[in-house]
Order: sequence, then C-alpha cells, then structure tokens
Amino acid sequence: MSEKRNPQFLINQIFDKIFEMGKISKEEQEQVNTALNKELIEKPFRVAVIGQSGVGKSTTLNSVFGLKNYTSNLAEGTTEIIEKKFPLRDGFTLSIYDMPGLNNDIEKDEEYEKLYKMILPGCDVIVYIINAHSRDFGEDCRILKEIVLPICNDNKVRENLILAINKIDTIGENIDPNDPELQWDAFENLPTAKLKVAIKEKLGDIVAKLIDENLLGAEETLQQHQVVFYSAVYNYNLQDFIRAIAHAGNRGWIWPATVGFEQAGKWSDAKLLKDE
Amino acid sequence: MPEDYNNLSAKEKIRYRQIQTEHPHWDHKQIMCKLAFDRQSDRIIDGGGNNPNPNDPIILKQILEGAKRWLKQIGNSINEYIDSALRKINNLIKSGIEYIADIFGLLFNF
Repeated sequence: MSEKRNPQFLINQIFDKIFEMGKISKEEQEQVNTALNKELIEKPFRVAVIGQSGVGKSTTLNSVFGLKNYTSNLAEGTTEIIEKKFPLRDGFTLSIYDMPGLNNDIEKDEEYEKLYKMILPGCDVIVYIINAHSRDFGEDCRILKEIVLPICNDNKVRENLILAINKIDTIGENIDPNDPELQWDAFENLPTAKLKVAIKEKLGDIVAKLIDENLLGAEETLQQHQVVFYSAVYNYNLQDFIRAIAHAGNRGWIWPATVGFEQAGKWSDAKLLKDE
Repeated sequence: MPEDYNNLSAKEKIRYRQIQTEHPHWDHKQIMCKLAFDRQSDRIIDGGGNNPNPNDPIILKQILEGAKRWLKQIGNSINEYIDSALRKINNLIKSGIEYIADIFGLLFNF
C-alpha cells in the first residue's frame, strides 16, 4: 500500500481534494503530481523589483515576500543586476532580481534599459515600486511609459507587471509633519480619520496622473488590479499585494498557492493589523 | 451607454459624471478604471486594510484559474472539478463576499 503523501502546499491540497472527489486514477494522479513538482520546484519563482533609491525595496521584500533582513545594496549608479535565490520550504525557491531604478542620467538609462530587456521577460512577476509622496512621480511615469511598459508589451509580459505604491503611511507627514491627526496610528496600525482622507486624495491624484499619461485603463496599459497601495513598514494592505501577484501573468498564481501567505509579514518588524 | 455603466449604483453614476467633468478627455474605459480604483481604495481604507488571508475568494479564483491553465498545458483534464469550484467562487465574489471561514471546505464539497 502506498504511503499517503503529506500535502506540501495549498495547491497540493486542492489537487488531492479533486482527486478524491473525482475518483481520479492513481496513474493520472501521479502524472499530475510529477508535473506539478516540476513546475513548482524545478523552476524558481522569479520576481524583479525595480525602484529608485528610497522607495522601500528592502522593506517591501521583507514585508511582502517575507525575506528576513533583506537589504538592497545596490550602489548608487550601479548597472549591475543582483540575483538572489531564497530557498523557502519543501524545495520551493524564490529568485529576486534587484533592479536599479532609472534616474535622470540619460547615458545610464540606456544601460539600464539593456538590463531590463535582458531580465524582465523571464520574470514571473515584475514589481515597480514608487513612493506615494514622491516628488519624482513624473519621472517614474516617463520610465514606465518609455521603457518598462514597452519592454513588457514587446515580450508579452505586461500582465506580469505590478505598480506598487509604497509608504502611504507617510502621506500625512508630507502634508504637515506637525499635525498629529496626519500621523499613522501605530497603536491601531491604521491611518487616522484625517489621514484616510489625505491618502484617498493622494492616491486619486496618482491614479488620475497614470490615466492621463496613458499608463492605466486603456489598451496595452496597466489595468486597475495591477496597481496596489500599501505600507511595507506597517504591513498594511498586504492582501491586495498578494491578490495582484496571484493575478500576474501565467505563473503569479503559484505564489499564493505555495508559500505566499506564510511569507507575508513573516519577518517584518511591524505587526500585522490588529484583528477585529 | 455601455452596459457596465447601467449596472452602476445611483451614487456611482453621480461619481462617474463627476469624473467625466473633471477629466473631459477620458474615455468610458478610463473613467470606469478610476471608479473601480476609488471603490477599491474606499473599501480598503475605510474597512481597515487587509491582513493576508487564504480564505480570500478572489485569490483562490486566481489560483484555480492558473491551475486550470496549467493543467490544460500539460494535457490533463480534471478541469470539470475546478470549473465547479470556480462557479462557486464567482457567485461568492458577485455577492460581494470577501472572506469565508473554511472556504476550502465550501468549494470542494461536491
């Protein structure tokens, strides 16, 4: 009698249930499980993370992907791509491409563009991080419009792209650092009432700008589910981030189907939201 | 007007026209995108944000659809069971349910 395999991931549990309910033959079960093993274990889950200095790449990788003490050590102006592999559990490996963010240096842009063209097409998820109160948002729009989106469209990986708006917790202090009503409520781990209004307004402006720049809501642009807002430092709204990853391209579903939920918020200093 | 406009609530139709006035050069799809984003941000920010939760029907739907595509790729067809679970999930999502305890049991209780 064959030993009952301990289901490793959520997707194994789903298939086991289907096999049971559908009275699927042992041979067919073996076929599916062998192929699934190949898909999950032999192919690392590849994530490219792009963003300018200070947008919170490290905290995002700590918080969303559960990478303990991850530090983005890209030197200023580097054109080096750093790939790091993280064996997580039961043979599943996360591979992170830490991509430099483009800046106003046109010469460097051309080199970065070559790197992006080399790496982005092979990634399961591409996370472009921006700072919610960035003064450089126009520049991010330019980079997305002129470089990132065309590369993604040319290589049919536009659906793998996520625009991640980080640091929403700092929107208030950027308006008035002396107003306590605009500070993040660290005890409840939620925005205050006044900060909620400010966040909605700011996000509305960002989205309007993305639409104006023809980056969102039209053919060959991002769609609404590809834009997420969050605070990596406070683990705020990680669920939507996981939703966006699940929706990404052909293989995004693999993340929540395997280790996605257990990794989110795992090592980050900030506690998850207080449960109701 | 397109069908998705007709399906909007009265309040959303007002908001639609507001957006249209603020951004007269936007087309219907762009306005609906903005509306969807506003709805989403209201839901999240007013609702208290979201901890990661595997009982999320939207994420489970993506998992099942991804698994179905993958199975088709490897030439396997146990998809009728996945389709049955997807029908249940789509009904849950349409009715606005965002969380169900033991969604797994609900979906696979044929």
